[in-house]
Amino acid sequence: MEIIKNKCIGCGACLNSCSFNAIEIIEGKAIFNDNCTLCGLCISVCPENAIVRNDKKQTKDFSDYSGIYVFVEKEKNVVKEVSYQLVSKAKILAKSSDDFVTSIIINPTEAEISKLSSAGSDKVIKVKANLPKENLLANAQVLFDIVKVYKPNILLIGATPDGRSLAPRVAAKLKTGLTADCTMLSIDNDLLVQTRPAYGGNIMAEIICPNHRPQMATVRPNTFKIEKYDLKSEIISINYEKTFNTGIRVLDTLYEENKSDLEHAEIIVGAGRGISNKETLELVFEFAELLNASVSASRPLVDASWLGYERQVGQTGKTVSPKIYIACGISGAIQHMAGVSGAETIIAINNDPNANIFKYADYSLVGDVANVLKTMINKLSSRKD
Amino acid sequence: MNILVCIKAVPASTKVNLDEVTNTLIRTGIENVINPFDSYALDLALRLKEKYQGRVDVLSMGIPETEQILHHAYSLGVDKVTLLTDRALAGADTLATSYSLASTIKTLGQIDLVLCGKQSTDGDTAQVGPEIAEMLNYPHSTYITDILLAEDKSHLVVKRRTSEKSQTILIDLPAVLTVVKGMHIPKLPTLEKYLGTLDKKVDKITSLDLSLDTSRIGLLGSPTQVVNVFTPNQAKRKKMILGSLDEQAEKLLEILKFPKGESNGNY
Repeated sequence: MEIIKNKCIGCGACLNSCSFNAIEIIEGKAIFNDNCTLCGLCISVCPENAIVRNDKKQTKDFSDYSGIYVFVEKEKNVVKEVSYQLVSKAKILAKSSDDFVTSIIINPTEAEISKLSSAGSDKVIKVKANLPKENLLANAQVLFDIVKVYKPNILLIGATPDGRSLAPRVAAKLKTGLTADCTMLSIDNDLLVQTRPAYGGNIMAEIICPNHRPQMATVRPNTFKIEKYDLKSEIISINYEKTFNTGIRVLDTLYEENKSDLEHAEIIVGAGRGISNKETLELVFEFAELLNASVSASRPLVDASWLGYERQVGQTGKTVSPKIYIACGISGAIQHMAGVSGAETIIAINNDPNANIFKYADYSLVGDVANVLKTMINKLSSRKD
Repeated sequence: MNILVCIKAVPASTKVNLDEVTNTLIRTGIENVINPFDSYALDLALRLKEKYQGRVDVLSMGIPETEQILHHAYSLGVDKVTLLTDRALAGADTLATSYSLASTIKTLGQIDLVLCGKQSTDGDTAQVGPEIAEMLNYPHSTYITDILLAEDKSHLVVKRRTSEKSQTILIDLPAVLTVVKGMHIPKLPTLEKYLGTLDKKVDKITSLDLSLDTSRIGLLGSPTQVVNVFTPNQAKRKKMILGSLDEQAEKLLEILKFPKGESNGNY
């Protein structure tokens, strides 16, 4: 990466955007020092386009790689929704690039194969394997072996906690690139363009993987929607006979009983650190109940054990996409907002007019959360009667 | 048990904002801190050292100015801190980073356990831990909250906690584990330990020292690359709900009925 001296006007815009103290202005010109991580953020801020980097172009021939493959994740013998969502997204991508969609599923039922077809899977690789229970490394081994044979152009995996453990293991086995938690996917110039929040989430980055295959990406649940297609998939049956020697054994698993309904909720009321006492938290629940809404929490309340981890929404929690998200006493930290990026309408109630959340909200109410909730509860209850 | 903890120094605030007046990107604060999840990993490592004896070493790949924050690890009781740093490593994506770290780990002698934080606050991909494991050919597990050495001393019994489930897993040594916040509150450095660190130095090494494959490090060794950055479309309706408490509540009721309402401007 270099700064073209005769274009640089020494304005310092690059210096201001650098998180690493890597730019200095010396004799009116910007220069890089040893702290530069090549993140490239400064390239987009330079008003004179004086910073350039040789972007990677595709230089290899990958014509023997084809297909958009989706690895289907199962939990407790049930296919995770995100897998169907990715199949549907893959179908949209496949249509735009004249490609096909293949799902890879281990020990499926007929109903699951049917659902994969309906979601848009042109082909289904049905693997029969004697997998050790819940063993992610065994799944990684199977996926790797299949990918080596079938040579996908693109491989998508749901960014569930297990998916985020499995995908990088497979990517490293394949020595290919992986982009985690993509919020958008598209095809441009035959390459998968992977978009995700970066640099703390206020900025979106577009990422490509031009010279390695498959191009891998993980996507959070509820980023894309399941579509309906009238398809009859070609079924490819594989009998996986190799043994597993993974070095791991799951001794026991306890599933979260308080399986919250956040993923499917149409309305979610979010409680944040501004909910200063338990009485106000009660109001949040009362309010939510009157709206038939689910209650979620930002991280501070879960850390304080006021609410369970299953309700946590954010970068280290769930991603939700309700029709309406009502943020009560939530400051709007990037890590939290990353979890509600899919909400159609965001309403924010906060007594701090400068709270970050108001930058994201469609409707902003500056006021005391407890008072607003009490008034709303009164009105909603009287309307019910 | 010889434990190696991989640590990343990250900007204290990863916030990069758009200055709406000048239309430039500005960062707020440029201090470095140890990535929070890595702090949990370090704390867990030190507790294991206390319980089972052995050593805890720290490895980090980063820019020169991170040396200072890494030195703090000595005041927690770490035996050796190594910083892998040189310009050839810049621009690394997770694969190149993992290759650099794994290759370095291979030169550090007998390591029984590699601990990493689950993810960093700036990259937040959670990829480096599992990728290092693959390159070392060690089993790995993620979202670990607690670790115990099994009686036969060749396995660990670990507790894994994700948003969906809790698991107890038996894992062969040597292994790689990525750590999340567990039951313990991280121990703070003591004055005594801090004073003992004044003579200690962070060992700095380069990719040349280790004869790393230049085609696999830095920008050159990265299959992925950022080609564009943009600010997300915040062209929202952004309406204020004004008036007395009662009026605000009435308007809110209306919005809940018709969230994509037709009015524009202030409600």
